[in-house]
Amino acid sequence: MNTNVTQDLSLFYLVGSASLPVQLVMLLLLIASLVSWWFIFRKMFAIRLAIKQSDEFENTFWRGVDLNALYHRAAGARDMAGSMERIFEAGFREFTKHQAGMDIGAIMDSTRGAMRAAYQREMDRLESHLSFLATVGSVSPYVGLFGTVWGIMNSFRELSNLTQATIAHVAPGIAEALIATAMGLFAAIPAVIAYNRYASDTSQLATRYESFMEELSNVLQRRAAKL
Amino acid sequence: MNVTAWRDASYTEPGLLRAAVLALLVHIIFFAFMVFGLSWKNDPPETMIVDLWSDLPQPIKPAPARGASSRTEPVRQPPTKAKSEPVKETLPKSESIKADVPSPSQKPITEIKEKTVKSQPMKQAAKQPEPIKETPKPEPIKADAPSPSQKPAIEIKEKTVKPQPTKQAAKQPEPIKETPKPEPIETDAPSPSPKPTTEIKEKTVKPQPTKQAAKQPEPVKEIPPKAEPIKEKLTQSEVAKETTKETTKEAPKKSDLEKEKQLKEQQQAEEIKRQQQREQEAAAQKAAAEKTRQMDEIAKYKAMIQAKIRSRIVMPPNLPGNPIAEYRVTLLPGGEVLNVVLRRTSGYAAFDEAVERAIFLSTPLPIPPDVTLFREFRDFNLTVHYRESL
Repeated sequence: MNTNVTQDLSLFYLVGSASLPVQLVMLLLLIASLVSWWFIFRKMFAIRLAIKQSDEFENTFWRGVDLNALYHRAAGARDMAGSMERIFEAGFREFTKHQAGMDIGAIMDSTRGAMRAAYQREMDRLESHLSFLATVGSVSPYVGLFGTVWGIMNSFRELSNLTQATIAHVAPGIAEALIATAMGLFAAIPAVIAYNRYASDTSQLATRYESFMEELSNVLQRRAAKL
Repeated sequence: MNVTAWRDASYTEPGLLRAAVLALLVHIIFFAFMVFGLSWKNDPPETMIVDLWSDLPQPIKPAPARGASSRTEPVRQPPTKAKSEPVKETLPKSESIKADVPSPSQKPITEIKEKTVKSQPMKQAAKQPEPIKETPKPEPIKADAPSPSQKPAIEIKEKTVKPQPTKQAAKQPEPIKETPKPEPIETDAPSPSPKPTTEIKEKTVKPQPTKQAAKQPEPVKEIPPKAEPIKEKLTQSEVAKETTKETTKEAPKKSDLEKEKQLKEQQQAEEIKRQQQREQEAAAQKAAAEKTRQMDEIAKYKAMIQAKIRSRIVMPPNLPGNPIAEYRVTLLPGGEVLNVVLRRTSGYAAFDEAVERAIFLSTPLPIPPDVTLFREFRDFNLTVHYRESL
């Protein structure tokens, strides 16, 4: 750490002159921030797409399209399918497997089981990385604080060697130490906001999927009773 | 098979790269904001340069500047005057009598002429010159200051031109000058002997000494012995010129002149001696007064220290007699007690300890603010009596 006061206190100078632990903390925080932002955007796109596909599928489903045609479309373009479409596909496939003279209760049980499995998978996919955002949001301030405390400790320790202690001697050390806190907050704040937002989005989607599953099982049960 | 493919498909996520790019973009924006948005430049405060002046230059400078200008002007003037005066002096023979009351710059010369020519005007001149020179024309006086060295030369030349025969005549007029002078001198100033010389100077157009005489009586006394011969020479020379015209006026008495001269010198020497003695006495008195004042001050502070320490002593009760404890106390500047050493015990350890505790308790001790006086308190003996009154 440099105690020269008249130096240029640019951001890069401060980061460069920080002690190694502080620099490591800063690097960690930078990576966490980058990754969390990457996840934020990924989740944003994914959830937005999921909502959009769910909307579209529900529209087509309730418009009264033939379920067989719908199933074939979903199975044909699986990559393009949304979560709800996949849940429908899984359930309908299970339903069609047991047609000839089977017990309705058993058919519906297996169908529901298949749909729930698909739902779980979809929810797992949607909720993936949200835990990382939560971790970054809750931990990175502490990590930044650790870097700050370490930096301030160092700057005060160097102060003890000086006979005349002025604020100018401590200021650069504290400034560079506080950069760690700033970075921690910079990583944490968006992560927390994104986490809360995506958590509520996924929970909304989950309720939509669950309600769709119930409705689909009802439709399939009626259809089985007709057979 | 089918299921695994379906699972794989489920994990293909849209916009992975786009998200990464956006994340990078966000950080770049943030760092750009940090670097350029905030002014991280720490402008070092401009260093203050403090000049320590031994004395204040601005208020004083103007005054010397004026003085210098008034002096420098004369410096420029002297040549002209020095030239003009000699011219007057060389030519005066013809003009001297005529040009009695010309411009002020010429006055001194004309006065000399008057004095030499007439004995009565001499008295007037002797009385007048001082006020005239002091009040109306300080410039010529200053201006003349550098010139005297030039003048004598010129006058000496004149002397050589007009040799000894005039000398006798030249010495004659002097008594005339000196005899009338004593009267004005006594009336004008308390110191009789130095002034005649100054007046002679005035008459000989050397007003500088007169100025000094008017302002500082002491230096004049010191100067005369050196300046006198020149003045006398000058007077002689000038008088010589004039006397060439008025040789018939007075019959000289050389021996009288010389005697008077000697007397004068003796008087001056005595006067100088007396003056010096007086100064020495005054200095001695001053020093003595200063010493007594210092002693008073020291005594005062010692009493204060005693009082302070005494106020803090927790006296052990019921000691017989009046034991005395003596300590050697070493102080730091500021009155803090550095060290206390017991020099003479009172015979009662309780009392000794009580005094020592009190000394340390009463730090800082009252000490004089004067640094020279503090030397007395750097290391001093302190005696404390058990009973105050005794």
